[in-house]
Amino acid sequence: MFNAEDKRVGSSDKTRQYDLPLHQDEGTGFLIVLVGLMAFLSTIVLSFSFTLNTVMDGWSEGLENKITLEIPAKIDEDTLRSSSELKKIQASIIEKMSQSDIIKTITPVEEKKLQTLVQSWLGQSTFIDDLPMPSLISMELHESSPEALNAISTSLRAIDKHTLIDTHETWLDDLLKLTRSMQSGILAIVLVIALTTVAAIAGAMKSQIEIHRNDVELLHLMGARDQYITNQFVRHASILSLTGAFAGLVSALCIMALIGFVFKDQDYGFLPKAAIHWDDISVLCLLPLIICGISAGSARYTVMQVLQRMP
Amino acid sequence: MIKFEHVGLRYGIGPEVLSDINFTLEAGSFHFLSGPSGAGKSSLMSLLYLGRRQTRGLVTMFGQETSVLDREQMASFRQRIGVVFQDFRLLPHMSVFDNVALPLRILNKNEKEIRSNVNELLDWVGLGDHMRALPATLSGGQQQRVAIARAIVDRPKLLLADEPTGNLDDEIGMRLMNLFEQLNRMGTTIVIATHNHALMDHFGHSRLILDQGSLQLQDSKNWIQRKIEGVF
Ligand SMILES: Nc1ncnc2c1ncn2[C@@H]1O[C@H](COP(=O)(O)OP(=O)(O)OP(=O)(O)O)[C@@H](O)[C@H]1O
Ligand SMILES: [Mg+2]
Repeated sequence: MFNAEDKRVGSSDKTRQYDLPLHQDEGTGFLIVLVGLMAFLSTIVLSFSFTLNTVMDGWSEGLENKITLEIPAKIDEDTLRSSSELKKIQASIIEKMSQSDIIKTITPVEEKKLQTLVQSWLGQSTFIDDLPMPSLISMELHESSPEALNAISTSLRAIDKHTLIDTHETWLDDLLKLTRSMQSGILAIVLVIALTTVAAIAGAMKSQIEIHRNDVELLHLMGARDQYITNQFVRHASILSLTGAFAGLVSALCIMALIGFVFKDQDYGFLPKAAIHWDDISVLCLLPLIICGISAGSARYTVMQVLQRMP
Repeated sequence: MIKFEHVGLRYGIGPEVLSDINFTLEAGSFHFLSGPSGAGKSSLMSLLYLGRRQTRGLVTMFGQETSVLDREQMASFRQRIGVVFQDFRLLPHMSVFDNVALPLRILNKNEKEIRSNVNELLDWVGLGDHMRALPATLSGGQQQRVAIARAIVDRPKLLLADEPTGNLDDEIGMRLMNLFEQLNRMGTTIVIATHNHALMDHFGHSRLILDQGSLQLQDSKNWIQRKIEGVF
């Protein structure tokens, strides 16, 4: 009685998802792009934050239990010690200290290395040779307790009272403070992104209800519950935000991989190897799901709210 | 089953298009609603299918005063009512099949049941060959039959039809009226708004006559009586 095609229409309707042609609406493409952009931005920003964490861990780890002794050349306004003088003091400190059992390693910092370090700040110029360069000794302690530091400073005073101990604590603290405030900035950006997504989805849902007002009314008249109608909008919002967020994530990861590839041979000396870990990437991969959840929630709340005001 | 007491309706701040309407419809009864164009037939229908709230008076349906219904009850009341709108209100992006299946899907019926019911019904109203068509590609009469099929597919307790035979030729009009009669015999209460006197005369059900917003009721016995009196 019915031809095969009609039957197919009847059965294929199982996958029919909308009573309202929401996916055909004009704004849908724009919304996908918008959500994509949000996902892109949050991926970049979060990766940056993860990298920052790695770098920070590297710093604290690398400097743990490490101190530097500085034997200054300039003692006061008029007195400059010669470099051979400094070398002598350096040698005697090392000799004395290597006997101490609180010290794990002790090495003098080469003059050449010091010069290159200074060069990276002041640029290459001949006057560096004339600068009164201090001598440096780097040490690694078994444990940098106050007692150990006290002991070191006592024995130092016996050799040369001008030698300073740098535990790196102040500048490490400053760095940690800086990175922490950057992290809060990133959190704020992510929050703004989330709110933007919520607002964009809510606005889109409202305008789509307006576009389909007659049909929504008709569904109500046929006895459709608010939940039934809302589900269609939520499904629509979820699908489009999942699509957009996935695209955003993939393009962000691609771009970061590209950047990583281009700069992979660059060595930034004092920067510990800046890299994203695999578990960070897997967290990033959850991003589309999170964005989808946020969109779905926003859509559900908005649509329910609007429907309940309809007769 | 349905009771209107001193019901009035106005649109916005306009004049009352219905004023002081009083009537009672028994369960399982069949009525024509007639009156000149602009008399308020469609407006009265919209109160009956709970598409609008009266601006005064009481409307009682299925034993409940309707102004106290919450959204949940409202939905379940509306599910018991089938409506053929004067302008059909088919969903333009959906095939004929999907349009007719919609009330069943809202009731969350299973797809197999939906398919067999809808196929049978569409075949019965002569649209078996147009299931995949979009409403816009159908003639006015065909669209009307889709609208009727959609209204009756979930066997409503109350069927409201606004000019359901307006675009149909006599034969198909008669056939659909017979379908309505059949539904009525199975217990569906039916109200049909129409201008068609021949139709009303042929079926002889009681009439609600609207004129300038007020209503008079003529039951079928009176009508037969007057007809007989008129003949003799
Ligand atoms: N949505 C509306 N807003 C304002 N006025 C309306 C609205 N719908 C109907 N009216 C007015 O209510 C009155 C009754 O209209 P209604 O459509 O109920 O008449 P009707 O009897 O169905 O006419 P017809 O036989 O032409 O279908 C008319 O004066 C009309 O202008
Ligand atoms: Mg009308």
